[in-house]
Amino acid sequence: MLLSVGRMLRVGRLAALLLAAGCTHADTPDGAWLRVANGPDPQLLDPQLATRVADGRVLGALFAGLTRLDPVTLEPLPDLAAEFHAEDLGRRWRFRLRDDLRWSDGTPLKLEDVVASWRRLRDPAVGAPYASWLDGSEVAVEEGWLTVRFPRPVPMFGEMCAFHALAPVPSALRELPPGRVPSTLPSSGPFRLVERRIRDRVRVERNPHGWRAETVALDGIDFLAVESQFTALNLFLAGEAELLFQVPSLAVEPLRERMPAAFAPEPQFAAYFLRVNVAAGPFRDPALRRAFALAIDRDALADAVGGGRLPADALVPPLVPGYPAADAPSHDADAARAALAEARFEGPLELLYPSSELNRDVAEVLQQQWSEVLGLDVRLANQESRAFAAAQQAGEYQLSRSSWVGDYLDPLTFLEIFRGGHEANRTGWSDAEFDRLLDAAAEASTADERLRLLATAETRLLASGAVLPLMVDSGQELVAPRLHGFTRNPRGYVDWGRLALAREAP
Amino acid sequence: MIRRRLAAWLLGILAVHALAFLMVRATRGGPFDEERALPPETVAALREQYGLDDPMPLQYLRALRGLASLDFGPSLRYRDTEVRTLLADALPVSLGLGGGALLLALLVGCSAGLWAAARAGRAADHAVTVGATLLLALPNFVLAGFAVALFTFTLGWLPPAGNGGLRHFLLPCASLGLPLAAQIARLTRGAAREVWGSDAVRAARAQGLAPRTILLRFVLRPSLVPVVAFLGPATAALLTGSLVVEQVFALPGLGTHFVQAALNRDYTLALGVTVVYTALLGLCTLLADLLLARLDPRVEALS
Repeated sequence: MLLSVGRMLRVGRLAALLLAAGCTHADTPDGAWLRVANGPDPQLLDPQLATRVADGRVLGALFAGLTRLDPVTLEPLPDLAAEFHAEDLGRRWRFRLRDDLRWSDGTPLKLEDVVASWRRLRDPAVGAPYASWLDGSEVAVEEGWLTVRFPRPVPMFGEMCAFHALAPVPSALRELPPGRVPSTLPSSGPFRLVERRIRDRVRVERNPHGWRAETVALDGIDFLAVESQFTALNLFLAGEAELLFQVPSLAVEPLRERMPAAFAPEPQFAAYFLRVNVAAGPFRDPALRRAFALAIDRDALADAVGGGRLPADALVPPLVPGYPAADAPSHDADAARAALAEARFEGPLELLYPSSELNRDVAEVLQQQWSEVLGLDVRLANQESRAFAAAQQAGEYQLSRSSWVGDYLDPLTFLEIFRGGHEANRTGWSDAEFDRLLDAAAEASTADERLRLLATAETRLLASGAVLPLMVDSGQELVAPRLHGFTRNPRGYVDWGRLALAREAP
Repeated sequence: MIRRRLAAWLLGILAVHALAFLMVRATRGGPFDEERALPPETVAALREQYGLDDPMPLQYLRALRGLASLDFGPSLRYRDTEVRTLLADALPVSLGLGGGALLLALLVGCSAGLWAAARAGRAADHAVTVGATLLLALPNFVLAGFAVALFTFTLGWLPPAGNGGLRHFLLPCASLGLPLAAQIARLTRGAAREVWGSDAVRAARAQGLAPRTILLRFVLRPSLVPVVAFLGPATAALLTGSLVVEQVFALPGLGTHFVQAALNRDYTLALGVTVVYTALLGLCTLLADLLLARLDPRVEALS
């Protein structure tokens, strides 16, 4: 019978062996290694195919653009380009690369890499989501300068070049079929790829061939894949991560109170709003849309959900210098009831949102406001995020929660998607005058004129009631005091090459 | 008997595979539906690349062929990675976690049960009973929360999450294994109590044998029979528990893939993980039954 005990011990030894096999991975190396709780695992380390914000952060550390942004002013600065300028109101852009640029494997990075990368970006077979950024452009190399000609002014192209989608990609990536990434991926930014362990981390180290190598203070960065916000917060509080980008709603107020230096939510160039289905259902009636828009008390809403979010009557967050505020319907209970009296509708009303704590809180506040002001009972329905995305895309909703993060600090990034038939429109709203105003803005002869035309277009969009703006989103970065060089900004833009870590307090 | 069980095991895998194939596709929303929608041409190209617009029977045949060759194709979320690679990377983490938890559960559970039985009715016995009841009442994520609060934030001994050395596995193994240990302790205690009261043990005591000898020679083996019989359900509990525990501790194991593949509509990965889970569960149950037959001859006679 002792034999069976021996067998049990053998089983035990096997279990111990398995356990050891499970932890073959080493901890973060010693030295100035930053650990970032980056949220969901990156999908694909291809700067031209990635769309997610979390993927963008890793790609921003790996790939340099022709420009980068000043993290305070968000003005474009030279990066791979030694100098650049716009001509003819931004119809033409010219870039000259730095001398002796290299990929992280030591091979030279030339103007031809930029040209070939942009050709790949526009190749329909590649299916790059940001291909439209180069629509209608002509790219040419003239006397050592890269010249990009657009049929219309693109004043924000300098800023767009700092985004990973326009960063040059190495030939090793360009030569593979789309969706494949070489295991040794040469990069051009302050860091280069060491390894990618799925569901665990992406590890990058200082790129010795980067043009900024001498000023990069960090030895490397571990971008940890941490899906749960609570787990990410635990890692931060235990000193196992120095930076994270989203905290659980529950933790927002305690963190603001107790760690004001580490956690200070700031408005982002991102909007939280409702899309309204104007093509089907009760909200085909403009009077009903108007009643719902006027009944929302955004101050009370922002106050109730907190987290540093600002109330917003307009869609474009008020962060663009020189952009005049659009005329927007704001809270007016009497006018809302008057509009409702004109409206004709029947059947139940429903607000659809993707399941999350924040979305539920917002939906409940709205439900209560509509009930108080209009006396209408709006049913709340939530769906898991992909089912929700499919439903919204198919127009199978009445009112639905939406958000949009600006790609560059310009109103166009919010307005363009509401052109008739745009795949991100999803409201069924289409207005020839709105489209015409956007076209006119594109051809405007001065920057002021352009912004004025865009504001007029936004006013039309808001008056239609196809979108109901609610709040300006806020950045939820949590930054360890020993991480230096990090600047909060409305774009959530991080210049990874500027970060430094002070030694850990003993 | 083994051959029949193996055949049933294979049939079970086939059935679960077919069900999972249907269910994951019946769910609303596809792998390329995102709030920030991809251009329609891109989505069409991707669906074409993965054959998602082919007729269902054809897709199922392809999935069956994948199952037969254990090659489930490329993941839909990690487009540059094969499901096989993802599984191979995640399996050691999950086996490590599950094996560690099982080991802990057996060591703690059996010793606590035997100890309590030897001190029946005394304070130690009551302590074990109360402790086991408490552990059984707590869901593993609550237990994980308490464990992190104690060992990370109060004592500062262990990291709260992440994948690194052995110390990263201690809290997850404890959170997963302790509720099982509680069950095992109760089973062992019950069985051992019976044996301690039996005529054989009373006779051995009368002969003046040391309690240690009695324990090893008369009590241990019969007390372990119910524990071994419990190993099958225990494996099931470990597998389902690991779904939660891996998420809480951000471990890159199969459980995390299982949950996220379903949420991401990663059809190929979801199918792959489901098959691995089903196979593991069937295999462990079979092994536990074989072990039980060796330990208790009556089991073989009955089947």
